[in-house]
Amino acid sequence: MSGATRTRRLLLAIGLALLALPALASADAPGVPLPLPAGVPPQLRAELRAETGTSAPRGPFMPKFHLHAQGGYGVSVSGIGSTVTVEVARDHGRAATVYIARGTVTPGRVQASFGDLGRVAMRFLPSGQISLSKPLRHCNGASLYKSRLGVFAGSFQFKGENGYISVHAHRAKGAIRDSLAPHCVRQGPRGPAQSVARSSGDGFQSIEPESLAASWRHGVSSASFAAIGFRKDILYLTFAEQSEGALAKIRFAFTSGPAKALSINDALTQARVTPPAPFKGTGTYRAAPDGTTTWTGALSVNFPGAGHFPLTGPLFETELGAGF
Amino acid sequence: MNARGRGIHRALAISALLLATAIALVSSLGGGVAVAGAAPSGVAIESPAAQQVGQFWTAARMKRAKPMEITQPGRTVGPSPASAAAAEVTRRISPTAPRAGASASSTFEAVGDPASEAARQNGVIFFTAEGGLARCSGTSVNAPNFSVVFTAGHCVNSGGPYGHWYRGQWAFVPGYRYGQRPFGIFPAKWIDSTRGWLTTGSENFDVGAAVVMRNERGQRLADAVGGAGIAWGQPADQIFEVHGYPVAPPFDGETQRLCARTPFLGHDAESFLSTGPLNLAVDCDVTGGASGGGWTIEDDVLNGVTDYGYGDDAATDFGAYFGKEVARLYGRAGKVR
Repeated sequence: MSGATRTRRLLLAIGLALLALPALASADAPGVPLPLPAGVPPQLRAELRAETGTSAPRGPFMPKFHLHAQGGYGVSVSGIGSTVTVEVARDHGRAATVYIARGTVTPGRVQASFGDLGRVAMRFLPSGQISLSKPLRHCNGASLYKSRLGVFAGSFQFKGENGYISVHAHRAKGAIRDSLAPHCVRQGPRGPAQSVARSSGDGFQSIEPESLAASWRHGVSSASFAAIGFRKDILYLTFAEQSEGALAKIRFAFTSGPAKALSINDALTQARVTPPAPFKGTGTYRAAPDGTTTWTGALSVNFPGAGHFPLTGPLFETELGAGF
Repeated sequence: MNARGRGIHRALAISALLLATAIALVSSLGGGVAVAGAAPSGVAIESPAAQQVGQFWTAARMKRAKPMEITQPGRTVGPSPASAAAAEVTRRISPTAPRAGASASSTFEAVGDPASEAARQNGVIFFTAEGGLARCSGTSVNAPNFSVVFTAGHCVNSGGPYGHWYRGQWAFVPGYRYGQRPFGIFPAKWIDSTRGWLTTGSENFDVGAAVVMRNERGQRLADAVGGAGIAWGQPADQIFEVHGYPVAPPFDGETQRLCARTPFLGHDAESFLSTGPLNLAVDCDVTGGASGGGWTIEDDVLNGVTDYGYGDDAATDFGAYFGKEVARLYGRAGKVR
């Protein structure tokens, strides 16, 4: 794989990962539509939607409820298939840690254990109210899903690592979201195309931003960081995953800032990046004539439950991309 | 090993989440055609006799085959395992001849004599796919028909609702070494995979099986090389022997390799994002071509197969957990005559 292609795929994968986590889209459904976090810049939003040909969550049903917690955190509990997630987010969803476990998800119940961190056992009590998602023109004016509103009752206890968050609830407003699986057609520059009949490669060619991407993986843990130029702004994304027994933790953060915070020389041998919060510090890339590279500095990110998560060091493989 | 492993997509640290979000998109990458026979009941293959398949798979063709990327005589068989056992949550079928384990190593060490009693149940699977010559690894398993090979799902079917079967010249060569076929060649007459692999393409279900015909000498597979036992519903935290024929550098696919006594590391975090039982990670530096290679636990009992890895972490091997779907697959395979 060429470096440029690798970088493009890395950047896109990070973006798609951000879309994946809130939805935990079912792997069963072709053309899985996905929700977009509110903070995703419009340019990236358009690229990602064009890439996936999708636009909102789909699955047989997805119970979900939301709570506010101390410290400005929001806690969302959702389930799909046999997977239950607790997402702890702050900064309007721009930094989050998603705790994932196997559990029981039915139209009336969501139940799972998160080991030492807590457990959820809630039943859904419908209010009788129904809401439909916004009708979409490319879906022949149909809604992608309907939500049955109501209250979840039972027990939800969750305590984050080192007690950074503690939630104990017996009731929470929520909904069961049902996919309506409308027939949607993507209208792109090449004309209409079925979202389920897409090829993999050509969409990637449209993204050629200035970029810096760094990642490492070892065993069942990994981390990635990317800075991507979009016109006059830089989008910063980071993503880390970790598996601990029957629990997975997936953390992500993203923000944007002025282009001056990322500098890459024309020869692609040096780069420096200083992203805004929730990031902290500076990362510096250098490529020597002998082909060796270094990615150093105090660059870190403040994930919920994992403050000062390092984003530089010898474990990272780092690549630069020139914008054109 | 699966293409989404060492290959293009999985070469990136986090790209599997892309798969979790749009697995159907991935399913369509190969331009696969939905096959009427893609129901989870396996497909019969009208294979020519072993002589003819053996003539097709010359030493040169076997050497040219590319890793599939996306992706003793069985005389001690227990009482009707194929019918009764498949319904059980946990079960262990004994091998034809349990063997002593090797010393621990996470390095994929060359097996001195792949035709030895300890190694000959493992072999290379050759087949044609998408216009080329392809290969995987596989293991002979003890079954009532003495003719069952286990491998990765992506070595028999491309996976997902648009998946297609790999029917062309599919054959198992146990004990393969440098173009030699010490026990002959066993063409497949039936191939199948787990329902989950066929309907979702989730790597949590990436397990396949074949029933093979007799070799050129008229021997059934397990009569010629024996068969490993098989177990499902076991605890994930096992010590595994990982077998296979890796092709991609630093290996050449010509020798059988073994990671001895390598422990369970955990589950791939991305496995949580797909349906099915959480897959398993072990410490073993496999490369492409090792796909489908058997993971055996104590007493030579198959309890996993190699499915994928990541390009930026060559030291970790991932395989699907052997649960109920694998039990059903084993049950179906054992009934084929």
